[in-house]
Amino acid sequence: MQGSRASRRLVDLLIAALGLAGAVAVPGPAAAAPRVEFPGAGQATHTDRAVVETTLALLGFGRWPGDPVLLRLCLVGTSGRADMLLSARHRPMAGRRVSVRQRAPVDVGTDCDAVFLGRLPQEQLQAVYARMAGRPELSIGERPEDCRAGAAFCLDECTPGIAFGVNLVSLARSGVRMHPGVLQLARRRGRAQ
Amino acid sequence: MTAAAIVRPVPPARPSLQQVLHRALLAVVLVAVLAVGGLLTVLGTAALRGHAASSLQRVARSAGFTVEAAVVFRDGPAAAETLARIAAAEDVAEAWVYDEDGALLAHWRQDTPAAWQRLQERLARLLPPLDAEVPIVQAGEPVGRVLMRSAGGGMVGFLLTGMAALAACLLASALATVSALQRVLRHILAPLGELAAVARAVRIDRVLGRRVPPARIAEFHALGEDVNGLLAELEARQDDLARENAHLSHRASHDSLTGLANRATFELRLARAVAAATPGSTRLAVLFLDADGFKQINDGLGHDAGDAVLVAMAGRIRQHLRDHDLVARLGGDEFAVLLDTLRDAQDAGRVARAIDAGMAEPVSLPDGRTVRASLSIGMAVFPDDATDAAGLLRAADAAMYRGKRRRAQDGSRGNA
Repeated sequence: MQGSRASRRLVDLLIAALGLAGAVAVPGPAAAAPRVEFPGAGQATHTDRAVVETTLALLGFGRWPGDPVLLRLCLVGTSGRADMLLSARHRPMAGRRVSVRQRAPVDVGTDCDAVFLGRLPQEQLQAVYARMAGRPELSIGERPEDCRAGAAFCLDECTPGIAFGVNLVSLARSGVRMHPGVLQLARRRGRAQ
Repeated sequence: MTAAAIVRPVPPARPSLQQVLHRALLAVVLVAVLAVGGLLTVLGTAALRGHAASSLQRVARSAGFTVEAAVVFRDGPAAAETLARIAAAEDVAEAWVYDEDGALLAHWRQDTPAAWQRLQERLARLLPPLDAEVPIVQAGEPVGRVLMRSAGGGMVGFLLTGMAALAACLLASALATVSALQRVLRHILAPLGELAAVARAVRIDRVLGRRVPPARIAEFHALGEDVNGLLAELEARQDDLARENAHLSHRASHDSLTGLANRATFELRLARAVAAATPGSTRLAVLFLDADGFKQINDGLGHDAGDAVLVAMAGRIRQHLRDHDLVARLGGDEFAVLLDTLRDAQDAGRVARAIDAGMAEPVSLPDGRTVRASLSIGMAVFPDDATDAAGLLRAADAAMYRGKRRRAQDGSRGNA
């Protein structure tokens, strides 16, 4: 009994080692369903799509206290990608859905888990940062300079796609934990710029 | 006989026992070591590839974790950098990262390989390539794939060390075999040599007394015992033959009644003595003896009495001779004595008188009676009377007759 099992294992080992079992993998593309779809956004540019995808991807790498099932992304200010963000349909990530809402700056700090910062007058922007202080809200600025202003992440449109920076102080204050790979990616890009 | 039968083929060069055993044992060693070594190499290669496959899978999975963020953000350069960092430290020849759309995001390939690695790659190419593919998962969703191809997994090192070990094993086994064989051969060749020496002694020197010493190996010992037994039998048979031979030659050269030499022997010895003698320095004498009135004894007392008288006469004649003198019964009642190397002729006369005197005593017959018997003796001396054997015998015979006639005349004159 023992011997036959051992010999079968030996045969399996031989077969596996010689690559006889199973097809030999050949490198090649394998298509999957896209994470984000943009219904009715036919004329959206590659960069626009990249901005939305990157924003949603950042949310996917975050961990909020209490691990909410629904992530509320609030749009504040004006942005060319607001409509795309609002209409984007994405796959749930680890069973977590994202709802995108346009919000007035004064609403920030009550029912948002993340804030996408469009163009805002300076004083309103400061007020938004002030309201977010001490709350687990992830701020994502649309422009590179938002990081200096106090946003946790700031997008940077560059060829060929989208890069992003991170303000580690703001991120740490927010209490939202980010996947370290994301931070490395942000820092690497910061160095590159 | 035909020509073909006469032309004998040249015998083929025969290998020695040692050569045959060496060849056979070394072949066995070679086959055994190569079989075991080959099997171990195949199994080792299989195990090595199995290990390399699982290791590659682990490396690919680890790379998948590390490039996860870069793949999600479609950051090709970051993915390539991470991929290079991981793959370069591992046994990876080539690696690919695909994003979720199946587009190639990053590719890494080993730098121009060193000669060692080129050899390894060429060797690895003999076997199907070892690939590992793992999905990149973010938040439970597949976002891309990592694909890696193994660089060979130290196959060359393994095979080269395997070959070296194989060669070393082969050498060690061969040496061990040869030394073991030498020990065995000592036990085989020694008894064979002894057997051959004994056989040669029998064949060339006709020596049957040699024996094969005991051998260590049972079969050789038994063979030696058999040969010894055979030799003992041959020796016994030869002794019997020699004894019979001696008996027959004695019977051929001696008189059966008295045990004395016969006429043929006497004539031979006489001829030899004459041939060896040189006139002037050597003297020898021949006595011719004839029983007086033997016919009357034979007719009056019977043949047994006659035989007894002849036997008694033979014994009495011999009493007066030296060891190297010869007495023979020539036939009937005639005797002859050869006195070799005499100092002078007087000695022969002394011997004749002593023999004559010895006959004075009556002879006891088997039935208890006694009878008187006497001898007439004639003498011839070399080289005075004759210089050849026949002449000596004739001269002695003539002298004996002269004496016998004289005694007969004296006797009749005395009786009358």
